[in-house]
Amino acid sequence: MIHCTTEDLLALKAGEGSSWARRHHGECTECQKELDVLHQRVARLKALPTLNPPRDRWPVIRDRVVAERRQQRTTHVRWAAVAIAASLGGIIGTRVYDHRKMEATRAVEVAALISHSQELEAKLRAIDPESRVLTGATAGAVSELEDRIASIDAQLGQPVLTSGSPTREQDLWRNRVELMQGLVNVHVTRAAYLGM
Amino acid sequence: MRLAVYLSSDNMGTLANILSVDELAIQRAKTGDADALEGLFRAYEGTVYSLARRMCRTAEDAEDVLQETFFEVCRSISRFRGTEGGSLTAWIKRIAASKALIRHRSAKYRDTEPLDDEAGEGIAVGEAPPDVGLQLDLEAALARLSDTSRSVVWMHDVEGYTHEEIAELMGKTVSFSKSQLARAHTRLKKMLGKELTQ
Repeated sequence: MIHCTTEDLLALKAGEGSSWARRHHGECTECQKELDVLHQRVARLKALPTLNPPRDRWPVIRDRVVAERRQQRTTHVRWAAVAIAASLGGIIGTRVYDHRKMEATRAVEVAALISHSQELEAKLRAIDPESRVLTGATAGAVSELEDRIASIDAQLGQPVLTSGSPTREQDLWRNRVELMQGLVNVHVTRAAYLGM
Repeated sequence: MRLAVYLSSDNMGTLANILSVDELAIQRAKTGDADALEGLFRAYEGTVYSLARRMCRTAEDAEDVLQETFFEVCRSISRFRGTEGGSLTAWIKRIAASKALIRHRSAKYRDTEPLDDEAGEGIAVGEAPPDVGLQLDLEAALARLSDTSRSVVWMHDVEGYTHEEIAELMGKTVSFSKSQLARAHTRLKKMLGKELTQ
């Protein structure tokens, strides 16, 4: 007669088991006894006494936890220092970058102003103001504009005056362009008035 | 709310140790409070050591598992989601079982599982084979099982882990867990000889 295997008995104990195992177990007193023995063995395993560690292990665990926390704190402080240094570096770098970017923009603008000023000079030469007769008031205005342009040219000719302040050179060139534009306008208006 | 954690019972069925861990203690332990962590250790050291001792071959291994388990508990308690003592017990036991199994997997503790059931009972290297016909008590018989078989029978029959949980912890299949349990019981039956039925 074929009896239940240990696997069959364990499955029956777990409330599972094949239909054959369940049917056989219902009929076979030997397998019923084996299942009882299995139940009792498990009960005896569960009833085995609790064992206590022979030594107190807490001091070792506590010291290790404390050491690890100390190391973590040190690591955190180091990382925080690195993060702060990186942030400062970033801020400084950004400012340097911004400063350089601003200077580059300013240089482009100054170049544009110089170019514009040169265009106005060329336009003025084309009008040939020296060959034209001006009224007293117009001549006074032209003279004042030319004096102011000469003053600006004198300042632009002295790099010491502009090197300390980067915006100074830009302002001088802007003023020069405005004055040159005014001078050209005076001559153009005069020429138009005379129909020449 | 105070939750009783039953740590153990002796053979007579009386409660030998009843310690309690309340939610406040768990919350304090989560903040890293040293006294609360020691309280947890004192409440669970017997439970963890017993589990480790049943799964490991030697008392020294079990002590190391106890130490590793509580080091992990101290380190990870802040991430423990539950608040009830019961779930804390299950969480700590799972860490202990995992640490014991890791120990089994290490090269030093490579299982000495015999290939043939008739070849022996999973006797450790250097350990004397059991005398034929010697009727051992349950504890001695359990100790003579291979690490894997002993761990499976303890986790399943005593700790109440399912085969799925055991398979996950061991990194094996459910069939492996079931077959190990069957082999363990077959061997225990042989070693225990004629078991008394009541």
